[in-house]
Amino acid sequence: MATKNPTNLKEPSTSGPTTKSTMSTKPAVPKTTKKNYIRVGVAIVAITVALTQNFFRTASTDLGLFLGDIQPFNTAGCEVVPGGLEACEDIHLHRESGLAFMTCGHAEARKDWFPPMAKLNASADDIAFQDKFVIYNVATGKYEEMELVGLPKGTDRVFHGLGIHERSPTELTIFAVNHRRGGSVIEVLEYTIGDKVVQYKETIRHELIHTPNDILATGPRSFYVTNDHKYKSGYKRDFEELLRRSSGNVIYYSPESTHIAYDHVASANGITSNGDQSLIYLSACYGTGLHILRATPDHTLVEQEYIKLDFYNDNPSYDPETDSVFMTGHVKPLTMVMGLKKKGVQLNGPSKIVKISKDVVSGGHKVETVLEDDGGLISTGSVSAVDQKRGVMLVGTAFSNRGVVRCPIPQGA
Amino acid sequence: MATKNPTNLKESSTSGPTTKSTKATKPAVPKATKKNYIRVGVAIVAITVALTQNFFRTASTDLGLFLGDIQPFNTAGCEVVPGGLEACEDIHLHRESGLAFMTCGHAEARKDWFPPMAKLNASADDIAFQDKFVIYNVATGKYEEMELAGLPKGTDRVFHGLGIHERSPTELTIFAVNHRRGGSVIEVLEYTIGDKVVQYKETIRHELIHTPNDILATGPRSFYVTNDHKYKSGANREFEELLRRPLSNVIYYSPESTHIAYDHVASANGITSNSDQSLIYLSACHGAGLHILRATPDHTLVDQEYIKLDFYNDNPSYDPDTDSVFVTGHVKPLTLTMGLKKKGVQLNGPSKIVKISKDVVSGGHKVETVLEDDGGLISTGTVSAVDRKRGVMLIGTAFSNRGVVRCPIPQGA
Repeated sequence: MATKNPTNLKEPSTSGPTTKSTMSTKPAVPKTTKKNYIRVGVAIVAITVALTQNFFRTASTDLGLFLGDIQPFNTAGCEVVPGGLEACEDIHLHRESGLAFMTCGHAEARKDWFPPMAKLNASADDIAFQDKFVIYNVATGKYEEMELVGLPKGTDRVFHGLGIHERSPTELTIFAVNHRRGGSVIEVLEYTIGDKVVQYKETIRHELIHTPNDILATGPRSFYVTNDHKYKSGYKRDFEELLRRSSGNVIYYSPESTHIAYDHVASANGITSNGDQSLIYLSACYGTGLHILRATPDHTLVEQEYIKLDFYNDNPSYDPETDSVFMTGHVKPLTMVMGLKKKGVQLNGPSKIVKISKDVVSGGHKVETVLEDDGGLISTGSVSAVDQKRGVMLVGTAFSNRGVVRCPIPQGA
Repeated sequence: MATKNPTNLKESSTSGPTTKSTKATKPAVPKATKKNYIRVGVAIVAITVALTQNFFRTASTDLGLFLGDIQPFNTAGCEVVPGGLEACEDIHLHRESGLAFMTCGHAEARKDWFPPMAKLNASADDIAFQDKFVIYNVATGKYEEMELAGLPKGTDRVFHGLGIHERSPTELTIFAVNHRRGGSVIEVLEYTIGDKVVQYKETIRHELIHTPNDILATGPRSFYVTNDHKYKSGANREFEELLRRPLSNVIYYSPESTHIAYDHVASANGITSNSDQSLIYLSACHGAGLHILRATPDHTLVDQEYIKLDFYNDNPSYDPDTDSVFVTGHVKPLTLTMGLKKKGVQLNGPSKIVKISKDVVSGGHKVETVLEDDGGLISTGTVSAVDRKRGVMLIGTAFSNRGVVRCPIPQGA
């Protein structure tokens, strides 16, 4: 038979204490129960803090919450390129010709229509859909807004990242992300150095390309393209941003095969490569880091190294003269996000440019800040193309009415 | 020169709204700022919940917080082995002889001295240090408390896990964890089936063996031993438990080499193997799971599979007749922890035994509950040794004054 109580120990009591109470009524909640609730509460708080403290600490650093006022650094000699260019998010330098290819928009209109920032007001003013494709001559400082011959009149033009493939030293294929109201696509353009116009060839759409941001061209009709988010809007998108989730990816597109080349990126933003494409540089924008990747023969990307940064990095730009990567981005992302909600108020988003180069001593990479601004001059900086030959750094911006800023290359950069 | 304001947009204002106020005094905190505080607060709460919800959900399952009253299941025919055996934490069945080797203590004294539960009152009553080494005859149901010949008189005996190596079918080397006040050690004992006493041979200490729990013998002087925690006491120990951290490990000991065989375990508790030691079964107690591992020739353990369980599993026991593992453990660990604080009150810790066997269909393993009790009969169950030949399941307990319970093997188990 089952023996339940072989000794004289009493069974645990479930009723209250049996000592005589001096109060007229029994206490409603026994002291030990209150103590237990407090203990449980403390344990839950302690666990919560322990589990989340790393996230909050890293986030407050990467969001620049406690940086105070940003002091401009190395901006001496910088000038806004005059003429009304605004929101020139990407700049690609064709070093042989000294021409810079840029995609520019209208800063105020970005607050109404710009899917990458979940601005989805399709009834925005027309100017929101009339972006410019610009060729800027670095030596002369003059630029032309190029006509895209063959692109049907009235087609939305809401540009973002660019990728350029050289079919020959003078014949370029240019891939441009275009956030049309009908869906984000990749426009295929061709340009021969010296021509007066750019030729529109075709439009590429693919179900895997859903939130395109930037392009790394690999051939006349093939490229890597980044999807910067998984969700386009709604609370899932809010959580994706709030929690800085690794839900972006990189797609390889070609007529033969289109597939996910690299997955689980905390907002895959700008992408570029070194001279021979043996290394690929990928910005994880709200992850705040740079992935250095290698492409396999079947066009998947394999991790070589990850460099954690401390700001929301946008586009990386490769400088072949120094074999280094200049990364531009947003020091106070919340300032930028809040600024995009304020119609009619100029947005000053603090920006920073770092130079990432190999550290021969340690074998890793070193990261040096080469320029910083409080947004009064360079606002929402997104890319910096460095022309060492002419000593010029062109800084593009995502949402600023001071679209491009021309700087001397900072000392040591 | 730097152009700061090329258009008529005004610079962002940092003062409050300039509309006329109808109140006599300006509001102390502008509404927009209050709204922002609320938004920030909501974001922080949302992030915190998202980051911690998985931990809390899993913890409440594994701690059995919402199970309600446990209904005894398959305990019909179970009887406490009479005679006063208490707290028999480990049982090893020597199937050829039908003898079960057990380490037993004093339940009440475990509340004062038992380092594995961070009970460190070195001035506990003498009985806390006078554990018994017991040999139980399964067929007859009779047992003997064995003298350990050669162990110096007065040596602390605070037993825990056991490991047995068969030098021959009748000559056994028995390794016993002993939590002496001077430090936890491994006692090496030898026994020949039929002898009236057990021979104490030597004591093994090693700096890598700091919180020993259980042993898997591999030779006459070699074994794997689990360290169930990293910290022995204090705040670090509290956090280790609260956060269920994988800080513990398995050590391989031999005179030639002693090293970490497997690391980062969420409380490495009981350890055993199949008959030829081609597979090793390791309980992760506060991780609530079973690791199935393989030993390499240099005595490190490699993951084969991890089976997540839903209770704080203690010791696994291998049943060669069914090639399955019986894992016994604590359904409501908090009840156990709180009960250990109540001196003079009998501890009833709900217990469960699951049978883990290969699922030929899926290739994985299936987990079936074969017995459960609310602690009224089987309290703080830690191990169940299954003797098919005699149809008996012997259940040991860590902290119960009903030290061993003898049950018929449940149907289908």
